[in-house]
Amino acid sequence: MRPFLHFSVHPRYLVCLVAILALSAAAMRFSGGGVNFLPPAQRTNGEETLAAFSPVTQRGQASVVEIVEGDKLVALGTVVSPLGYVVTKASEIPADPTVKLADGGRVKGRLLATDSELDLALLAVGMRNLPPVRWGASSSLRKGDWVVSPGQEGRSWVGVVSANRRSIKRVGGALGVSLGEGLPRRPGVAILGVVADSPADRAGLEAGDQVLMVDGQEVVASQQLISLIQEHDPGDEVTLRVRRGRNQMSVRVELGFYSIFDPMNRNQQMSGETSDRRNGFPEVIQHVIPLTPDSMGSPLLNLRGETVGINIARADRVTSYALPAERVIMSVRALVEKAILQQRSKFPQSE
Amino acid sequence: MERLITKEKKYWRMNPLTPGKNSIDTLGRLIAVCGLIVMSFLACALDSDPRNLGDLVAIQQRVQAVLEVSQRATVGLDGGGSGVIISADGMILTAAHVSMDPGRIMTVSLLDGREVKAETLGMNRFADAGLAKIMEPGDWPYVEMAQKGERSAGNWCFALGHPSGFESERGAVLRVGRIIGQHALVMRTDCHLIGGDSGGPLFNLRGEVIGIHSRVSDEIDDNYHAPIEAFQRHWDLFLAGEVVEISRNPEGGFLGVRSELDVFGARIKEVVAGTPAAGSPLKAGDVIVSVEGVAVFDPNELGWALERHAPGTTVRLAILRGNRSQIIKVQLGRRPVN
Repeated sequence: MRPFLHFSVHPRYLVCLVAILALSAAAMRFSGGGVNFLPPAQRTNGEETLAAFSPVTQRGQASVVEIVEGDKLVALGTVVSPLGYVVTKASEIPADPTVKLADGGRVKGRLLATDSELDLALLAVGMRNLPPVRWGASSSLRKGDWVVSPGQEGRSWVGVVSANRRSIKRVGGALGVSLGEGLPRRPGVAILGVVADSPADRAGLEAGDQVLMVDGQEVVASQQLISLIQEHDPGDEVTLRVRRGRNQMSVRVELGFYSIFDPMNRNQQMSGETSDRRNGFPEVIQHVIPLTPDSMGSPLLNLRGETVGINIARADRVTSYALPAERVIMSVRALVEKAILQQRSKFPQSE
Repeated sequence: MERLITKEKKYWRMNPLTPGKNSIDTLGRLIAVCGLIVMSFLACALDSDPRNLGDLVAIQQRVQAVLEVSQRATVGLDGGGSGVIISADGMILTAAHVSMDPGRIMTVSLLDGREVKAETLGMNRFADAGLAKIMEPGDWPYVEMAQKGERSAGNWCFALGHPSGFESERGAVLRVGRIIGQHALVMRTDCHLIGGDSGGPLFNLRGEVIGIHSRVSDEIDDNYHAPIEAFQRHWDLFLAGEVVEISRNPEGGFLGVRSELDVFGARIKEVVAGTPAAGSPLKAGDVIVSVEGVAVFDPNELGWALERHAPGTTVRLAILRGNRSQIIKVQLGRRPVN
């Protein structure tokens, strides 16, 4: 206010002054009263900002279902066909998933087929008048475009496309051990430490053990052991030949996700919950919508309300991945065919 | 009205040793204020809460209009940090915790595939602001710094950086968000950051740098940036490779005030009896804006700026008392043992 205090206001300027006051009042209204703090409701994912997205969020919400295990949400699903087909994230769902519909009803979902490359599963929930999503071309998406993900219980989340479209390198399975080098001229790689509750821990491996062989193949260097393990996917079993003191034994280990090392990764530690399967995708749209791992399988919408992708992984605090719509559509077609063929083989038709 | 006063005083702050505001006549002042208000009204209108898809598209278009240029200037530093080039000759803004010390050589990764060396210059460790310069001559891609930082919560902004390290195939990673709050030494946004983003740029929708990414907490909306003022107010010192830091030089000059952070400088809470300050015209409530032309914002910067001068030196302090600015000369003493 200081500048005004020194004015000797000439009548000529009075009109101007009134105009200034009116303008500044308007400016204050627009800037939130001049308070230098933005309340949560007005932030990018606050309810007031989301209201501007409502034509899109309303459009997407009707095509989203929840996949639950008991009372626990494990993933979201996107309705892709009026026949009641739903796609979701394969690695997050149980074999006999329960599907919670938008109207609150619960139905058993039948797992028809899975696409392990894209980590997609196709479920059938029966014809229940669920509106399928309207697909849009993901190829028209540009970095900086707004995108919207309808979430649980009518809540949507927004963000922008944040990076170049690309493939995410496959990492493979993990034991959950830290390794030293083997001794010269002696086979074997020393286990220096075992991550608590990791596959190695559950299989009984201990620090100090020497790994001699992986599936019958001798190992002499830590990098060689890591390569042999990473040829396998999480869930695969490997047999290790291990020397402990004077004894030798064979240990079967079911490999886990590389995410068991997250407690040792500072960036993952500041990322909240992330998806276990978050790599090995042939093509992703990277965006910044702050999703949780249990909301994967939901549609990614552009501002026209078209589904341009399916959310497939929350990788870290700043990174979410969606599979491009074109890839999902091709995968769904293949999965439907696969499911039909499986049906036929179960009930062979006589020629 | 707070922000308008801020702007008016900020203008004056740019030249702390030449107050001269009385030379502007009333009409000139009226025009200036009028222009300022109209400009801030326009800025507010453009940055106001989006009410419909059209408003959202407008934000998106403004970001995309400057995105290409902004990305080219956003570099990776030593693999694990980020920075932004702000001049054709390769001056780089980054975080002090990325540049670490003056005179260090860093590897600069550009998105066009070039890798060059830069030498680190001065920094403000308290604000987490650091400067470096590409050592090779060249016509480097760059963006402009904002003349003034963004002072309004709610303004839209965007962040670029190389989270978890530089990856040319992925490119610089974009975040679009709003300013949650700001004071003299730090600004907060909901542009989510992670390790590797440190030193990367925060832009206004005109594509000018308004801050540099500094730190986060576990809370996802806690993303902090060093405001662009932290660079501007010590620019010459940064160029000279000097370090503004919290650690004290007990042999340096001593004034004898207790102060606190203020929007315009270090506000004196107490003038300690028996010190050089007590024998000067300084009073509690005065805001010390600069010491010998070096701008200070908070007690740490004030202490540092004073201790650069030997005991016995007479220094000129620019102060703000109420609405009036003045220069006070004080002969610094020696810090008492306790």
